[in-house]
Amino acid sequence: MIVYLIRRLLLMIPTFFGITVLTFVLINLAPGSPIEQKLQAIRFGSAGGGGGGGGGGINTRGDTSVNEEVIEALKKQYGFDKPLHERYIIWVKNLARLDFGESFTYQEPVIDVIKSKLPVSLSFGIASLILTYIVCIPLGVRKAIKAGASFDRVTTILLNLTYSIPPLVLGIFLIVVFAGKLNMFPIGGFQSDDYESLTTMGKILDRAHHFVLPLICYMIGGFTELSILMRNSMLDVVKSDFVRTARAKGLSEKVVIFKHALRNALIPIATGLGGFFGAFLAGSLIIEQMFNLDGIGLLGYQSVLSRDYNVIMGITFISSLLLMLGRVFSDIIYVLIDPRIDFK
Amino acid sequence: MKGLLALLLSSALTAPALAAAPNANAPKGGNFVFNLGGEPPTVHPITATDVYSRNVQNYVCDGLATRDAETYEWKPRLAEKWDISKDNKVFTFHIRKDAVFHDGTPVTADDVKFSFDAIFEPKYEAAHLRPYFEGIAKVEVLDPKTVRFTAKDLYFNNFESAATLTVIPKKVYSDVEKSKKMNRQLICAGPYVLSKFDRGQLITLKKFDKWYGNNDAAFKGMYNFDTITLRFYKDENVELERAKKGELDYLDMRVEAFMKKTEGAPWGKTILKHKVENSAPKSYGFIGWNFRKELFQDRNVRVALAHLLNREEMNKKFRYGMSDLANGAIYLRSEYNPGNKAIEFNPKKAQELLAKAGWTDTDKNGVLEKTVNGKKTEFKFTLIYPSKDVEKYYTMYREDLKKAGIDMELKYLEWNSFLKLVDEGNFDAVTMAWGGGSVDPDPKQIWHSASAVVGGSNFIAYKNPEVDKLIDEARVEPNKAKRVAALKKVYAKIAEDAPYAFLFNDKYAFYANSSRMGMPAETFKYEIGRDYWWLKAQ
Repeated sequence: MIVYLIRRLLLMIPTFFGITVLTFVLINLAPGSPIEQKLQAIRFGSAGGGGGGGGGGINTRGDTSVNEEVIEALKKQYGFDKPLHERYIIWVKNLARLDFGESFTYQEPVIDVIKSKLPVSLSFGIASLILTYIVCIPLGVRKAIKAGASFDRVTTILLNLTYSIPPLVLGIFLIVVFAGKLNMFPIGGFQSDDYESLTTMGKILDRAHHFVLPLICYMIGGFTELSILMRNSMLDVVKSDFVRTARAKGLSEKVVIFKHALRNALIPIATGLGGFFGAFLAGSLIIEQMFNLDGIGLLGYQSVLSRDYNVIMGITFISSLLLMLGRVFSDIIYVLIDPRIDFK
Repeated sequence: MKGLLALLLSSALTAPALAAAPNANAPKGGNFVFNLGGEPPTVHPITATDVYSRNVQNYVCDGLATRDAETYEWKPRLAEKWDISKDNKVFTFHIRKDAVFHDGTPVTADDVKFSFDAIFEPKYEAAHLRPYFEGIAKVEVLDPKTVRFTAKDLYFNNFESAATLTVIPKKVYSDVEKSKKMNRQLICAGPYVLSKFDRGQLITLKKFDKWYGNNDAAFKGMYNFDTITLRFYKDENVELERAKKGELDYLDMRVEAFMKKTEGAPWGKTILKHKVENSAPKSYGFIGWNFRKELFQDRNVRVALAHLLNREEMNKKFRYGMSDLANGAIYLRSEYNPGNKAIEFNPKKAQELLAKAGWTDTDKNGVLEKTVNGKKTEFKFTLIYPSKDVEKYYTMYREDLKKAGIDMELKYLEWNSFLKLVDEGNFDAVTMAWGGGSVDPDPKQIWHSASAVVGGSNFIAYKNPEVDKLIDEARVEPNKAKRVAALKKVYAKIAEDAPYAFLFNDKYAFYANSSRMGMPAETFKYEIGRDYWWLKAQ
C-alpha cells in the first residue's frame, strides 16, 4: 500500500506538468490577452459585446488612439515581452516559492484573491457535501428496502424531476417566490450588513438564513445522483449470498440491513468522499452570480473572460492538486472499508 | 417695437429658470443605496480601468473643474478659477485654499503635478491612461496653490484633459509599493470618503465633513446623503426583487424591464419608474462594411444595404417603439447632428441602386451577380457579431436581403475572437455599438483615415480625404460655434457615404427610484442628476 501511495504521489508530478502546460498553452493561444483587455478598456471604455442598439461604448474623453509605445509599455508591464516557454518556466519557478503571481484584474497576489473567495465556496461546498450524504444515504436505503413499492416510485419521479430542473430556473423561482413574494429568506449575499455586530449565535443563524436558497440550488443535482447510487448499491448487496444467509439464520431485518448489508453498500458511496477535496473549490458560476456570492466559480469564469492568466493558472493548479489528492484519498478509504482490496 | 424686443429678451432670459435646478433647501442626511451593477476589482485611482470603479471615484475623487449637469459649462471644483492663454495652449489653475484630502492634508499644486506625472511614470503601470493625457506636454508648479498645464498642440479637448485629471495626494501615493496595495482604499479630495469595501458585499461612502463644497454656495443642494451604500448585483431579476423589497433607492433599467417586468404593486407605490429624455449622448448600433473588400467599395451598394434594413419594424418588434432611427454617426439630438434624413426601408430603391452598381440576377438563381475582374461573383457576405442578443435583428435582415438577391451568413463569435478579426480587418461586415461619447465629440478616433490601422477604431478602413481635412481643422478650432459647423459637415459627409448601416439611438433613459427619494427634476439636461437627490422626511 505504502509503495502504491508513493507511486501515486510521484505520478502526480508528470500529471501536474501535463495539466499546467496544456492550460498555459491553451489560454495563451486563445485570442485576447491581458494587454488586449487593457487596450480594449482604452478603446471601448469598459463595455463589452454591444450589438443592435445598446452596449459597446467608447469612453467619453476624446481621442484615444493608442501608440506603439503604450503597447510596448503594457507588454513589459505584464511580462509579455518574453516568449511563451520562458514565461511558463518563470511561472513554474515562482510556483516553487508558492508565488502564483499577480492578478491582472485585481492587481493583488493571486493567492490573496483566491483566499478572499475561498470562504464562500468552502462553506457551500462542505455544507452541501454533508447535507447530501445525510439525506441521501437513509433515502437510498429506504428506497432499496421498498424497491418497487409506491414510496420508491414516487421518490424516483421526484428525484428525476428535481434533477432535470436547471439551477438557473430553480434559482430565479426561489428568489422570486421565497425571497420576494413570501419574504422568508434574503435575496442573496453571504451575510447581513450588520453581521459583525451580531452575537455568535446570531451570526450562525444569519449565515444559515442566507444559505438555504443557494444551498438548495447547489445540492439539487448531486442529491439525485447519490440517492439513486445508494439505492442501487444497496439493492445489489441485498441480493447477495451473505445477506441471504444472514436472513436464513433468522436475524431480524433491521440487523440484516443495517449491520450486514449497509457496510458493504456504502463502499461505492464512501469512495466518493475523495471528492471532499473538491469542496474547497466548489463554485458554480450561475448560482454565485444569481445569489450575489463572491466565490471561486465566478472568479474562474471572469478570469477566463478577462484572460487573467495568473488567476486561471492558480485555480487550475490548486484544483488539479486537490483533485489528484482526492483520488489518492479515495483509494485509501477503499482499502480501509474493504480490506480485501490491496493495491500493489 | 422696442417693447416687443424687450419682452422677447426677457422671456429668453427667463427660459433657463424652467430648467432643473438644485433644491438649495434639500434636507441633509440618510443613507442612499444603489446598485453599481458589478464589483470594481480595484478602486485604485491610477490602475483601475472599469466603469464600476469610475462610479465610485466620481463620489470620492475630485478634479480641478467639472461640467454643469444642466448647462454643460465648466464649473470650478478643486480649482476656484483658471486662466487660459490667448493661444489656447496654457491653462493656469488656482487651487482653493480650503481644499483638503481625506487624510486632512491640503491639496497643493505639487499634488496636481504628481497626479499627472504618475501617469507617465512606468512604475505606476498606468499605460492605459496615457492616451487621454498625451496632448499635455508638462505640468508646472508656480506656487503652492497655482499649477500650469502646457499643451503640446492646439486641440480643443486639451483643457478637458487638464480639468478632469483626478487629483491624488502625493504623500499617500508616491510610495509605489505601498500604493499598489491600496486596491480597496481611495484617498482623494471628493465629497465622500470611502469608508468600507467588503469584497463581494458592498462599498460604503461617508460624507467628508471637511470637503470644501460643504460651505460653498455653489454646491448648495448637492451631496445631501450622509452615507451612500453601493451594491454589486449583476442579475436583473435579483436587482428588481431587491428594489421591490425596498433595499435599493435607485436602479438603471433596460427597456425590457421597464415595459415587462415592472407591473403592479409595489411599482408606482414604493418604487417609482421613470422614462426620461435628456441631451446626454446616447449610443448607436451599426453594421460596418469593410472597405478593404471590393464588395463594399461602391457607395450605391452600401446605401442599398441600408435601404434593406427594416429598422421601423425592428424598433416596433424588439424595442417597443422606444428608439429613434439613427441618421448617422452622432447622437440624433446632438447640436453636432446635421439633421439629415435617416435612410428608410425601401427595397425598390435598393434594387435600383444595386442594378446601378452592376449587380443583377442574370442567371435567375435568386442571387445577384456581377463580373469582377473578369470573374463572375455572387453577392454573398458574412456578418460577424459578438452578442447573441442581436441575432433576432439580423435574422430579419437576412430574410429581406434574400428577397433582394443577397446572401448574408450570420456568424456569432466570442468577444475576444471577434475582436481579433475586427482588429486584423479580417471580416466582411461587422455589427457593434458605439457609446454616446462626449457632448463635444471628436470623430478622429472612429472616422479619420489615420485610425484605420491595426487595433484602431476605424476598423472598417473608411477613408475620405475631405472628412480627414475637416476633422483635422475642427480639432484645433477653439471656437465652439465654428467647430460645430465644421463637424456638422463631417457628419453629413459620413452619413452620405453610408460606411455603416446605422441602427438606433436610444430615445429615453429608464430608471427607478424608491419613493423615499426627493429630486429637483426627473432628469437634468445632461444627466439624471442623482447628486442632487435627497431623502424625504418620513
